[in-house]
Amino acid sequence: MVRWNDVREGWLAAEGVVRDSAPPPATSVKQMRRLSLFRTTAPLTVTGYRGAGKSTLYDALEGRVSLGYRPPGKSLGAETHRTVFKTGRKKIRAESWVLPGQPGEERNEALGRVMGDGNYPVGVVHAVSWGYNSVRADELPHLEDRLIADGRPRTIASVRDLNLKEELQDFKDISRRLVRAWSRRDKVWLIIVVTKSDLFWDDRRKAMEYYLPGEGAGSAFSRHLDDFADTLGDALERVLILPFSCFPEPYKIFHDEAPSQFVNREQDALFNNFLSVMGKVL
Amino acid sequence: MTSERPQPEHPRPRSLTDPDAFDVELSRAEALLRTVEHHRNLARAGRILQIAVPVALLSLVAALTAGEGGTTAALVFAASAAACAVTALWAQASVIAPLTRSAARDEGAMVEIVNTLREFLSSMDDNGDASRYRLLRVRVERFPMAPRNLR
Repeated sequence: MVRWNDVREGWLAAEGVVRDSAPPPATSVKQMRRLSLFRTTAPLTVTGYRGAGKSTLYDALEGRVSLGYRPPGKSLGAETHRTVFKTGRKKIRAESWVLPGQPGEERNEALGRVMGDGNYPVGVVHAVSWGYNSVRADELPHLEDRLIADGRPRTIASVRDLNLKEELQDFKDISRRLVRAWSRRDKVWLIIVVTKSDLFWDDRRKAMEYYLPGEGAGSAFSRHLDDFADTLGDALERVLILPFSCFPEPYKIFHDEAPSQFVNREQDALFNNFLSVMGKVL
Repeated sequence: MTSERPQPEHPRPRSLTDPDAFDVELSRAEALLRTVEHHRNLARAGRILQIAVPVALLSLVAALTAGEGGTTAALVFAASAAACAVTALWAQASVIAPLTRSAARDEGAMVEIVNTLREFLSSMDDNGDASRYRLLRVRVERFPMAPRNLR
């Protein structure tokens, strides 16, 4: 059974790493050679709603995020990566699928491959961004239509409300499929990565309370996560909820802007923390 | 004397947050998807025939002219091959290409409609009707996120 207090400790430890500046990561990650004949042993899946930063997260893991980095646009299909995680003496070759975030044929096909026909990922990294999902320029008119229909102003607050709703529905869909894929399995794990934490670092505890089940009513997301963990019981070995940021940038939408609150490369500490956690769960 | 005709009543367009309006647009997209798939299947069948018919025809001609003299056989075979090539080009220009263009045009319209619907999908869950939302989501999941030529 998942102990939510431990999950909370994991979040607070990540905050501590930022405060005290991070120790060097005990885990290193690199891409497998294209023609490598080694078999991958750990199937992983990266999920999350559109614009949560799944592709950027994986780019960061593989060392592609640097000063001149440009975040990729919307993924129209599933991305596959073969990656080697090295932790101490352990070396794990993982095949990771980064799935598109919006409901569609491409996502459905990819989900069928990673979570259907008896296949299942041993671990899922689910990216959420507390409503700060990026919206591509060609998606803005549709989003604008929706805001007008709802009678909401074109502000970040309105967009976040909508994104949080979509994010929850996306998580419900993924968790429903995971319950099916993970039934009669054991030692599977889920990391909920709260990306773009640099945009709300001052309010990080509110974000934590939003995602983390605990005492009190909680949010719809945390209640659903609690139910999900209950349903899987002992099969779900670990759940972690971590703040994350790897490419701080302001969030701009409809002439409204939220600045990044990181000034001293705090994202490096969060990234290192995420890497060492991955090293422990793999 | 002019008689006043009753003006047709145009219903006010409803927002896509209205489940019925959402359903109408989704059905429209599904009709387009059926048309796209039908046209693609026809074009695929056309391409197969474009190859299979000449191959069969030329094999038949070769078999029938097998006993004839070399020059006659070669002339008949060349004439048949030319006729096949002309027919194949005609089929490409007048049947297959229009079907492919029509499928691409309809697919573009369909993707645009569904991309709008995706933004409104979450509003279908607003009244707490989770099963209705799930069924609509399953229908939306059948559609590609981008036209085939952009994927």
